[in-house]
Amino acid sequence: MPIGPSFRPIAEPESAAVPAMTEAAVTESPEPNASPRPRWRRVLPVAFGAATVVLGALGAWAAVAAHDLRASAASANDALVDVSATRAVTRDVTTAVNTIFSYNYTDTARTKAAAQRLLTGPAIRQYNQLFGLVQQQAPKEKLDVTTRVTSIGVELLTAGRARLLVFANEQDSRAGTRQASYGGAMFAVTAVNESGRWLIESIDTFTGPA
Amino acid sequence: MTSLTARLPIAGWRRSPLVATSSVLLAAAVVFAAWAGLSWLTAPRPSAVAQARDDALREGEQAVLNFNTLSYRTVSEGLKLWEQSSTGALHTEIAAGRSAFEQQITQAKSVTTAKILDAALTAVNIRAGRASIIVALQITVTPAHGAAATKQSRQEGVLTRTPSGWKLSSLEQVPVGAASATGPTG
Repeated sequence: MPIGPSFRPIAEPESAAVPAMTEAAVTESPEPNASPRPRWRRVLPVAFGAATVVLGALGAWAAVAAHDLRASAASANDALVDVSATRAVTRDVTTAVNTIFSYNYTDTARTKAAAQRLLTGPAIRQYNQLFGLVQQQAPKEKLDVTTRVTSIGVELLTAGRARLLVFANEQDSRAGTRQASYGGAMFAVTAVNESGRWLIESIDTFTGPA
Repeated sequence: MTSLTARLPIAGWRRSPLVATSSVLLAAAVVFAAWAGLSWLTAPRPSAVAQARDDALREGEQAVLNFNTLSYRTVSEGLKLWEQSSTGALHTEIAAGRSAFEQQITQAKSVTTAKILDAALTAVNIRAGRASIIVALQITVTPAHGAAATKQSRQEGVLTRTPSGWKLSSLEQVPVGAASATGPTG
């Protein structure tokens, strides 16, 4: 209806559109007055009731859906999704692996001391047991070992825990000789976040029962 | 204005308990729906990256497993699976060298089986449709004569998303000591 006059405002004089609009307004207004009071008293509760049911159902659905979304998000794997957290755990575990598996026969105690700060829980006992052998052998063989992580991938990442797959290369050299040997290692690491730093909790070298 | 409000049914509001009750219930429903709606809108959504990561890892693991499984008895099927699990440069490479390789395996009469020990993605880019995967494998090679040999293997691959899923566009054994070839000779 309002489109009619607006199509030809240039051809027609302005006054032509004004009466048409007022006419429409006038003819509409008598209608609500005409309806008797008992009618809205019957219609209104029904309409309100229907709206209440619809809104209630929508609200219930939304509440359940929101709860499900929050529940799945709480246990969600943030690996590669949370880029900065993924980078942080990757960096901390890389540094830890490079440090704890690198040593010089002249000062194995330094590596062992550093490891105590980078490991936690069962990994400490596991590492100290292994490193006991290193401390016996390294001085005899004048070993210098450098370990570098070459590839690392985060499999699982939550606020407090992470699991990573690590590939590392190891370069062993003996003092006095120019020989060096190389070795590759692969293992999975479980890390826990302790006050902002990721510490290695366990190391799985895939040598257990398959 | 005054005449208009007088005409509205507000006066009768209090006299109709049904209207009053339904209004209160509707108001409560509006508040509840608004709260629930807001809660739903602000709830964290599962991300597209997480979905892509899970798909790429699962399909990538399978592709790597396929590439490390081959029996001389079923070379043709095995290599067909290699082709199906790859795309791009790797796919081209396999298609080109297929007949020669088929002959080689058939003559050697070897059977290779593999088990995935662990796998992880090191990167994923959903826009580019690419991901990098590292896989820890245990490979068993049974030759025609002699005992089967089992070894651990470290492999690194690049996955590319195709209309039929994530496929390997490269796959390599991770070298032991990058410096081993050049280091000690210097």
